[in-house]
Order: sequence, then C-alpha cells, then structure tokens
Amino acid sequence: MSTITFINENKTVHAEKGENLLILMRRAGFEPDAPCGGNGKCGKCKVTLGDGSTVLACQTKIEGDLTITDIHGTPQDAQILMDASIPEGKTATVTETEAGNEASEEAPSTGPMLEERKVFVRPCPNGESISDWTRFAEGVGKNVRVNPYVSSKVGRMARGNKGTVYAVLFGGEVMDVFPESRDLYAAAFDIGTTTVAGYLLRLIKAGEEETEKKTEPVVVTTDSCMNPQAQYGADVINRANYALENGMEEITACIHAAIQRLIESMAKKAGISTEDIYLISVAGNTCMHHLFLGIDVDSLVHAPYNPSVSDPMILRTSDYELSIHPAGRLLMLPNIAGFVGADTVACLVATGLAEQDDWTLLIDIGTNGEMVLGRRHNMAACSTAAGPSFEGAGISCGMRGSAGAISKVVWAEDHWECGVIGDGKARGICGSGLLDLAAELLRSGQMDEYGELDESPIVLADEEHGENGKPVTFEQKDVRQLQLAKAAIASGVHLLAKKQGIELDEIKTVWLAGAFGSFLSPVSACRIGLIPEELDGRISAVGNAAGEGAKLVLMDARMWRYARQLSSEAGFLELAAMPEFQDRFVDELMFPE
Amino acid sequence: MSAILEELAGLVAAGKAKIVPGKVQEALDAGETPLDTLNCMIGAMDIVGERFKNNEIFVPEMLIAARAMKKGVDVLKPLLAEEGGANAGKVIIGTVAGDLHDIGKNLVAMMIESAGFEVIDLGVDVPAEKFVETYRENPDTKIIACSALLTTTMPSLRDTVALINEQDFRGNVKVMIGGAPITAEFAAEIGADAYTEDAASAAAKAKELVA
Repeated sequence: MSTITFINENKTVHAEKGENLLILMRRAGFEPDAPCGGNGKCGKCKVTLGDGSTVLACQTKIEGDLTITDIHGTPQDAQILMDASIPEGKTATVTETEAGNEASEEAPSTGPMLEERKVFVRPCPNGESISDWTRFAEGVGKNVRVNPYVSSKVGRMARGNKGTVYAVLFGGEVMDVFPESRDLYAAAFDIGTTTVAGYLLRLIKAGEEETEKKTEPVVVTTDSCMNPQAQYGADVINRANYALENGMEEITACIHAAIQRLIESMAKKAGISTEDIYLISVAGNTCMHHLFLGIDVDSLVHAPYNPSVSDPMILRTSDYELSIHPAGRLLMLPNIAGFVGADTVACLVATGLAEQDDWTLLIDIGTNGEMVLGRRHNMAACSTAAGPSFEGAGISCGMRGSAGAISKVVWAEDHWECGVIGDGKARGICGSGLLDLAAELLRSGQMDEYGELDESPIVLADEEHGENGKPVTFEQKDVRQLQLAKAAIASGVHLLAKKQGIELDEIKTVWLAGAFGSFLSPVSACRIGLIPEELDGRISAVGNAAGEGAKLVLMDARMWRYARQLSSEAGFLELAAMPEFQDRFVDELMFPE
Repeated sequence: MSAILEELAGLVAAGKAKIVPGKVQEALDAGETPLDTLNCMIGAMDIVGERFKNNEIFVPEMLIAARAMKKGVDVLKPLLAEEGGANAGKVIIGTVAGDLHDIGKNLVAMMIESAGFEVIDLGVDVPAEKFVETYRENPDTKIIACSALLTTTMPSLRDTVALINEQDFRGNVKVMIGGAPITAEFAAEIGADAYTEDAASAAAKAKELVA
C-alpha cells in the first residue's frame, strides 16, 4: 500500500502498487481534466511531483509513496444556456399517425403527463366485504392498475376525509393518493456531453381539480452543472471507450449523482420535497442516453454505429438511483441513430420542424454537429465530426465561452477591437470570436480563400489587455483547425440537401440550436462558409431547444407520442459511408471568395 | 524541368484540383513522358509533405494538394500502366473493422502512392482476415498499413495486428499503424513495426522500411 499526498488539496489517498495515477485521482474525487480519456495524447492531466518533475497522470503508475504538489488542469467551465426562443407560430401541431396513436396505458392521451382526480370512495355497506381498492377504483372513473401501496392507505384516508381522496394518476397508474389537492411536479433534463440543464416544472396546480380554470404547466426553477463524466474524456468516443474498458458502473453512477444533486437543489429552491416530483424526462445524445441508463455502448462506437436502443422508454426512477416520489417514472426520449440522439428529437419536438411547409434546416453545432433538414414530416438527419475547435480545444489561445473569452471581433481598419465576456481582461478566444475573426480577416483581405494569413501570429490582446500579462494570439495553424471544423459542418449541409434532392437556395429557414448557435454571429458564420452563404439572412437561434423538448413531453402527453413518431420518421444519412463525402469535405475546407 | 512541368508542380502544391488534369494533358501534349509528369507531381507532393513536417502547412492544405495530385494521376494512370512505371513495392492499406473514418487513411495512401508505391486500398471497416487474405493474393506486398481513428477501435487495431503477427509471412512484411489516438508506445505494445504522427512521415517511413 502506498500513500499519495496531494499538497494543494490537502488530501492523502492510499493506493495499490501499480495503480494508475489518473484513475486514483478520479477515485479521490478530483475530477481531473482528461479530454483524451487518459490515452497519453492530450497532455491535459499534468501534475507536478514532489521532486519538481512534471508528469502526465494517465501515464504514471504508482510505484511507491508519492507527493503531488500541483494538479495543472481541471475541466473548464462553460456557459450553460437554459432558455429556448422558438419562433412563434412554429410549434408542432401533432398529427396522430399510426405510430403516435398506439394506445398507451402508461401515458394520458392529452394534457400534462400527470393528472389529479378527486375521487369519492363510497363506504363499504354493512353485510358486504368490498375491498377499499375496488371502491376506490370505481370512484376513479377509469381503468387503473391495482396497486398495493395505494390500497393500503386509501381506505383509512377516505374514512377520515368524508370519503374524498385526491389521486395522482399517470395513465392507468395511481402513483399516490392524498387527503387534499396538491401541486404536482416533474423535472426535465437536457444531458449534454459538456453541460447538464435541469428544469423543475409544476404540471398541476393544487385546488383546480374541480374548477374550470386550468393553470398551464410552468417552469418553477432551473439549475445546471457541468457533466461530471468529463473527467473520463471530453467527447462521446472517449467516454464510451472508458465504459467499454472499465465497465459502465462509475460513469453511469456519476451522472445519476449529478442529476440527483440538481433535483435536490431545484426542490430546495422551490421549497418543495423531492417526493413532490413524480416524473423525470431526459433528452441527451445517444451516448449520454446509453451511459445514463447503463446500456452497452459497444455498437454505438463501432461501424455502423447503431444504438443499442432507440425506442422511447418509461422506466422506474427507483431503478436508476434517482430519488423522487417512490413511484416516480423516468421518461427517456427516443434516439434516431448512433450519433443523432434524443436531444435532436427533443429539438424537433420543440421547434415543430416537421410541420413546416418550406425546407427548414436545424443545426446543433457542437463537437458532433447534428443536423436535420426537412419539411412536412420528410426529414433527413446526419451528424458531422466538427471536433472541439468551437469549444476552443486545439486552438492555441482557444477556450470555451466563459468569462475572459473574446467572443466578438471587429477589424477597425488598423487594429482589432474585441468584445470580452465579463468585460474584464482577455484570457482566450471562444468559438463565436473565432468565426468573427476569420470573417473579418477575409473581409479585410488579410487571409485568402485557402486560409493563408498575411501575417501570423495575429495579436488580439497584447500583454496589457491579456489576463496576467499574457497576450491572446491567433496563428496560422488555428485557421487550419477552424477549416476542418467548418468543412465538416458545411459538408453535412450540402450532402443533406443532396439527399433531399434540393438546392441550398430552397432552404428557407435555418435554426441554430444550442449555446454556440445562440452566441455566434450568423453573418460571420455565412461569411466563412460554416453555413453556406446562400442561407445568409435566413438564420435564427432557437436556444436550448433540446431542454425545451424535454419539458414539452412532460407538459403535453401528445408531445411524448409526437417524439416517438418523429424519431421513427427521420431518416439517417451516414456521411462517412458516402463516396462523395471526402471531395465535398475538401471543397469546403476553402473559404468563400 | 520544363516550364510546363514547373507550372504543374506549383498547381499541385497549391491544390488546384480543377486545373491540374488539364495541365497534365497539356504537358503530355507538349511531349513530356507520363513518367516525368508523374515524377514532377511526386516532387511537388514531397515538398508539400516536407512543409507539413516543418509545421509550415497543416492538414487542410495537405488534403487539398493530395486531391489535386490524385486528379492528375487519374489522367496518367492508363498511360503509366502501359509503361509500367517506377515501383517501390506494394502497400496494403485500410481502416480496421469498426472504423468508417478514412480521410486520414486516404491521405496516407496518397502520400505513399506519391512516394512510388503501388497502393492496394481496402477501404474502410476492413476485417482483420481481409488484410491477411489480400496479402496472400499479393505476396510481393512490402507493407501492411492499418488505421483507427476512434479510441474505441484501438482494440480492433490490436486484433488486426495480432492476426497478421501470427502469419507465416510476417517476416516478409512490415506493419505500419496510424490514427489520431495512436501512439508509438501503442504500436510497440501491439507488435506493429512503425507508427507515424502524420501522412508525410508515413510516406518517409514506408520508404525507410523497404530500403
């Protein structure tokens, strides 16, 4: 047994000889930064040892006692976007097709996913022996499944309350009964690879069961956090790899714990008990979906990259270490393909893309840029490997869009004018800043269509304006990273249009989902060809549409069925399998003239 | 080098894929031999590779130049087949089972081809047995090159190399591996002969291995 001492963190951990230092650090609860998943490639998990030497934790085996004086990196924070801004009049009108119309005992047919009914339980006449449950079920007025928990308390409750009880129904399931009408809550989650957004919804307002007035479901409060799985790798591939090599347990448990923390913090903020929450909905990309449920990710990350499961699922929260109401249910939105997941389905639910009469393109620009091109329930989806450049990775002074990031850039004829998040000193440049910068370089002729810079590096913030006297610069090789990311997204758009048999000009609307899509300048995005120039002027940001979709399936049961319908309707296009992909990709490496 | 070939070399290096085929034809019409024309383009790609290694240019320019080269080679191919061009040997290349990502592999294939090898490209998602089978059909193969882009297909790369290592012909062929998550340590661990960081070094390494 060796003793490992972390000086700065004031913590001592015991380790077996031969244990990997990175794994030990995770075990000790440090959440070390390891975007490459501990492969020895990214160099982010550096630590300084007691002898002054610097090593990569992931490449260090513990041979004896060890002192760590400094852990260099921790995962960066990112701005988390909670709100959606769906254009008015565009929301879905659900068409009840065969797929959406299947009788579901598990969910109500319309309205919020939860229902409250005032139930009169008639007394059992003397001389008869009709069970409490039977008399309660008669009073409910619809078929409900027998439930020992409810039957054990409903008789006594009714007798003490002049025969009246209030039942909480989820489809044909009686989740609980109470002597009085209560507010009923649910929570929606958008689990992103980087960030997690949570929304606490009041689905039913107390005291309205007998009145005409029905208050619409409302968001009571929200909370968010970084996805703690980041310590196992920055992207879905590295996460999946970790799960394949080390089992699901750890990586699944840590996201459950994060969701539970958000549930508790939101309940506290709203002044309710976690037991007042009956339902949880989850939208995430397919990998997040599988890792959340502890479902094997093997097929997801090996060609042809199909999911283990795509169907929508209603599960028991108690089976997933989530502590809400004991009868709580977990609603998992359906996936489309291995790299087009439930988050995309949730975006489709929220935006009503399938209902548009004109061709509409939805893009969620991230490490995997998922996109859907469609109209009138004819949808094709694909995923593009944009890489993490827009999140600042691989860019010399790149960073995520948080405090200190240059997020806006203008060339003022003889110098650069930069907008910095938080208005303090500049620490780096984030994705939206990169797009502005490239667009301005092209406009002012300081970069040609091949991406060749007149001079490199470019100084955006000098020693005086940079944090800690460190300048923020932009180099030729950064342009090349941007070109690769930009080409991936743009090729996706072109090939989807080809698949749908239309010209780019026929796309009338482009919706950008997600945080990056909300902060970037559409003009810059078109100027550099990230989004084809033909679409300039047709772009709007829809915000966190995935979170919106996760909320909607709780607030309106038809939306839950609509999600199932959309996930089965959307066609999937595997770009890597298209022979013309590489040519198109190389074409798109160039900037528009 | 004639003025027209110098111009062609410049166009290849700059990645002018649309103009290169016409310029190749022009060179041939002006009396250049297919072999000289090919060597001119190979020379241009060598310079591109060198600049890449020196960090003067990066992957996008490599891809653009390589595509221009390929368009030029397409014009020459039928003529070179007649002539029986220079040949440093055969290379079998592909991405391993479970991996569909071939842009890097294609780049390596083009650079190796530019270095004078005859490339048998098995494409993507290639089962380990296919590499072995292809070698048996082409026993004069000098190098088998396998790539894995995803961390998750590294085990598949390991299995592929393991199968090749079991073969009786293993002593007659070199095994090269590559891909974003791969390291030299990994190559040594799984028993491959060489790993290189990028396509240009891969071509140089290939030449070195068969020298």
